Amino acid sequence: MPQIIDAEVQVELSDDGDPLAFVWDRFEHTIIGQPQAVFTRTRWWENEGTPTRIDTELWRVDAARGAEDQHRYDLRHDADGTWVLSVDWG
Amino acid sequence: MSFPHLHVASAYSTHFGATLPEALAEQAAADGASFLAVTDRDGLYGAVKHVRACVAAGIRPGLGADLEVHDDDTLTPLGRVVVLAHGDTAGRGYAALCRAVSSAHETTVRVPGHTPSIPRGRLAQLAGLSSLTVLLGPASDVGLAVERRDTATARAGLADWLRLLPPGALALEVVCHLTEPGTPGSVAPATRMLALAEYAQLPAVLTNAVRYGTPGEAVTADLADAARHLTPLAQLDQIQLNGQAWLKPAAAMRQVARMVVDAGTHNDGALARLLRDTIELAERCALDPVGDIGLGRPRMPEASVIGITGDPLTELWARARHGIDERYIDAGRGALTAAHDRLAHEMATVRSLGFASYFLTVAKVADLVRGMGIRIQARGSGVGSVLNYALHTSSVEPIGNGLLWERFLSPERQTLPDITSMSSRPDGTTSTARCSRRSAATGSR
Repeated sequence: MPQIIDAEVQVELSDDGDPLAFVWDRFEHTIIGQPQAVFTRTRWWENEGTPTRIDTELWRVDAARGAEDQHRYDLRHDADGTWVLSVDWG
Repeated sequence: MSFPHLHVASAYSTHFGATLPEALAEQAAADGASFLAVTDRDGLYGAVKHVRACVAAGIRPGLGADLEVHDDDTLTPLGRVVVLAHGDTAGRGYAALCRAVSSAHETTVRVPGHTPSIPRGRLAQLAGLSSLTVLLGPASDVGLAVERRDTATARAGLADWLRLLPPGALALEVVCHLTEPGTPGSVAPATRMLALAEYAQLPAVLTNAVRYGTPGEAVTADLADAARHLTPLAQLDQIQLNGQAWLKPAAAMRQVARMVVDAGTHNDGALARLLRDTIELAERCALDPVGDIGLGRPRMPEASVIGITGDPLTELWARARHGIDERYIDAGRGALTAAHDRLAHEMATVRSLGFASYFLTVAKVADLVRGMGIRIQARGSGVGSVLNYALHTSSVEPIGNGLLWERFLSPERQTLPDITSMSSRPDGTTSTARCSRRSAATGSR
């Protein structure tokens, strides 16, 4: 069952810039395989002001907490640099 | 390890690119790149600025054009491709690229109403002698078939290209803008393009089909799209799906490469091969600003174009002497001698700069205009020349009027001079024609 989480998390990046792991609810979740990024655009002209970027950056990752079964997660990387765990796809 | 961008539209791609060549070159150099290509749409509009900017930034320039292609016989559109000139060919690659752009624009004359587009047969001809590489990317007929998962059509289309183009002239272009799955620019069509290259045993190169330098300029590209289609943003169908067509640094391009390779089933070493083939093509396309393009060296119009078969300087001398004798026939002995002395002084500069055929060409243009029954008069610094007066390029007698030759041309001046002429139209209005650096340079190719 997909669950909306919407919680800020700490993300550890590799030297190449890929997310390696994230800490959610005190537990480290290790990312498995090559994570995939998706950038979706905003209709910026409908909002106030001119944006510095038009994209929302989302990383879809497979991750596991310790030896537990892996889940699929969406990690959102916001313009201010914060990472938000948005969805746990189960 | 640096990454060479091979497909980049500068702001000189009107209503498409957003960033000036100087900014792109500086940004690439700051990221540690040693090469940058500019491949403007339908032309070489940013080419000279790009080459100069690369020289200033200490990186090697590549030049290409993003061109529409069609079938010679049926006029069937074959999408858009990137045509890249090969370097260290003593200008052969650059000349072939210039001719490809000319051919694309000739189509607009031959088929009125047609957009600039090169016949594939002509492109194949120009790509001979290893002058050019043609990149088939997502906007080509092959890429469009890959995008809609039509493997049979993609393979058949590629087979046509391979049959028509000289060996080694083709590469497949993998572009991934990390758009949402199921849309153009996502990883799936990119990884299928890579698989097609493996199937056909062709090199695949990674590009970012760049339209702007930084992510922040994606907004400008949105506005360019709206302007190009004369459509408000909110109603635009062909709006970019995200803002990822920027000049990404090497690390971000390698990240894209990893995602593309990971999304499909590929041969061992596919990631390394994709990056290596990209670097190898960039090395082939690195142009020597002097040896390949003749940067800083004025190119005279070929005198043969205006019907002169002998030495242009000899011809210019003969015409100028005759012109002085004719112009100063009633001026008295002293004035005639002074005019010949002044001519000798001016001709010494023309000779040392090698500009003889330039003066002959401008005089020819003035003759042609007069021959059409249109009055023509030079204006500006060009009227300070007794040579222009003798050639009937100008009707103003310079010596008696105290006009200076040096204001027009001097041995220190390395660029072509401007001779501006005004002509009156039969309806009495005037137009201004400028036989300038630019028109002389285009006339020479």
